[in-house]
Amino acid sequence: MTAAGSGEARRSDDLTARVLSVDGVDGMFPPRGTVAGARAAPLVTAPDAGEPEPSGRVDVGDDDGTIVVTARIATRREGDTPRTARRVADALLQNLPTGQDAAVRIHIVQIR
Amino acid sequence: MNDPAPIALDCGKTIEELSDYLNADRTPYDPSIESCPECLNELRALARVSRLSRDLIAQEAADLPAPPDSWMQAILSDIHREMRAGRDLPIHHPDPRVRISVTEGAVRALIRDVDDDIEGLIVGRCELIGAADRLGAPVRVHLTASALWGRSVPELSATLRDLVSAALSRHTELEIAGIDVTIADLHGYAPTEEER
Repeated sequence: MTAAGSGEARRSDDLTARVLSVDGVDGMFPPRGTVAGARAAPLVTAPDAGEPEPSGRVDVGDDDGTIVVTARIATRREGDTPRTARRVADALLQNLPTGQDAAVRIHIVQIR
Repeated sequence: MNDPAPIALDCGKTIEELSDYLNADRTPYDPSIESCPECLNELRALARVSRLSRDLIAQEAADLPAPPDSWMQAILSDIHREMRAGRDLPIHHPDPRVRISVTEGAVRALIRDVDDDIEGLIVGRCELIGAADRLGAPVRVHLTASALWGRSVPELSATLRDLVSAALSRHTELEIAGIDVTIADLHGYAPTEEER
């Protein structure tokens, strides 16, 4: 389920940038189980986020022909988390390839 | 409190590891901790208790007694027990292809952060009672807290309830049926000679 190949990696990078640009998003976390991979990865943060998070990125995977896009995010305490999360989901939906089954998973793991 | 088993988060990190990391001012930088939301939530809670401890020591210098170790350990024990990610609490999206959730651990950490805004109060236990992982299901919030001696317990309780209600309304779609606050103990009480 982790992004593999340069095409999916580019798509993941693009989607990650879109998620981080959503107002109210304070950062991203790596997909579950990829902490070891975080060690050598660059920092990824929202443009004006306070704490850096290593290697948080959108995970693009395939589940039996359905493209599954997963983002683990932190939101800002002064924001509105449900509204922020829906905006993230909308941003991801708008940037998925047409004509293919897709699913979007947003996990809010920290509010700070 | 006397449980000898090491407490570990879902990621495998133990409380002792996180305490040591915090005591070392989070150096050297550990990406396996800094990239884990449960660890970060725990670090925040540990840092808060550490601040509180320093504050109380300062109060001790002003003739208030230091809290007993058992009091601090009880608070830490409550925090540690509840730092796991827990259930996924759903947030609605009209598109059936989308699933959004906020972790129970993130919500508990949010609730704990509220006590930063209430002088003289620290939240201990924090439980979400009910089917919080089902949209629309009624959920009760049970909180225990410790209040600084001399403060109005009804006022502190009401303030805590209001702030938690506002935070949950802003950041979750939980159907809150009620918020129960128990002030489980008081800290900063200076006993008389006879009481000692």
